[in-house]
Amino acid sequence: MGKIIFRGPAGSKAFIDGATLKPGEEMNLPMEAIPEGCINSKDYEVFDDAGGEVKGKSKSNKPKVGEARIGSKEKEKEIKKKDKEVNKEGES
Amino acid sequence: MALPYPIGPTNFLNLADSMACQSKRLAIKMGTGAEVDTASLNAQQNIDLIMTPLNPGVVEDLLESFRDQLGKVTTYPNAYQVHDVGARALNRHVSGIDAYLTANAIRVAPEFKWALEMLAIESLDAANTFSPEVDPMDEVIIIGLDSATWTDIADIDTENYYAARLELYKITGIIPPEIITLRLLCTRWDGTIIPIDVLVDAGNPVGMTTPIETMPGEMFTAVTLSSVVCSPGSVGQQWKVISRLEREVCFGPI
Repeated sequence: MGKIIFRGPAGSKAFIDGATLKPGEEMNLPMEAIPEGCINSKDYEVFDDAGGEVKGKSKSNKPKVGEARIGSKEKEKEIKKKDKEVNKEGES
Repeated sequence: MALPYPIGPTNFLNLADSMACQSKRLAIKMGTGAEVDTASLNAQQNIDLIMTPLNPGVVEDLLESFRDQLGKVTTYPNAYQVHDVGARALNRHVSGIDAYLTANAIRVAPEFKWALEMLAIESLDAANTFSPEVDPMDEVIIIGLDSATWTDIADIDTENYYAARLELYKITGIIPPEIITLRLLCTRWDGTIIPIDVLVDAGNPVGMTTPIETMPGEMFTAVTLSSVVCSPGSVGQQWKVISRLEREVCFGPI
């Protein structure tokens, strides 16, 4: 069985599988019955059968570290060129 | 002494709405000291200018007066002060505005109530003033099959205002159409609670509204969710509950 803990703000409630949860309340559910929207939501903590926290794939559009510089090939070439120039300046 | 034939309700509301509209526009122009292009922000900037430089003599000579100036252009209560004479005359003419509103079963705008109360003319019963817009009152987000998170953010302030028409306003963008049933419990002005099923479509665009009512124009003070019927396909779809003004105030007829 998986587990959901509802962490919504005061005045909120969760409707899941016919049950109503208030902030801080939890319920056990088979993993396959855990609503998709609970995973990665700031309002829920989701745990699997072994008690490990379930994290879905990040839906953030922000680039991760290192990703910011990856774009079109032209852009990559431009960045590499600039890096070389900066390094040369640093050496001289 | 009360006149035998005081002003009729239509003309009374024309005057009251005009005053409310004047206050509303003055309040927007005055601001609270933070909004761009307002008198109060400019008055705050004047103080900053005096404080910035120069020599202590300038500060000593001008600061106090310019602080007073700032107080005079901020929204409250000066957007309402201008109605002192007119509102008192109207109150005298109908021998008490609150009783007049009750007798004629009409409601005034919140800005008119604020003017009357800030000027210590009369306080109005909550049933005689319609509510300002409350946005958002609640939010609901679909999280899975027949599952949702509901957040109660604010209700109508029933200490001061009457109930209002409520609507569900779609926050998230278009996805394939799916009719979702939100089973709501709605609180009437008299405190009774009635269930209303509202059907909303996940395929609707942002900003589409759906009234919460069993008959047109029905008003409530609060609402909450009792259950939801939906498929997992609508995960992430979100609506908020907003209240609508009973009417927009405008300048009365010339």
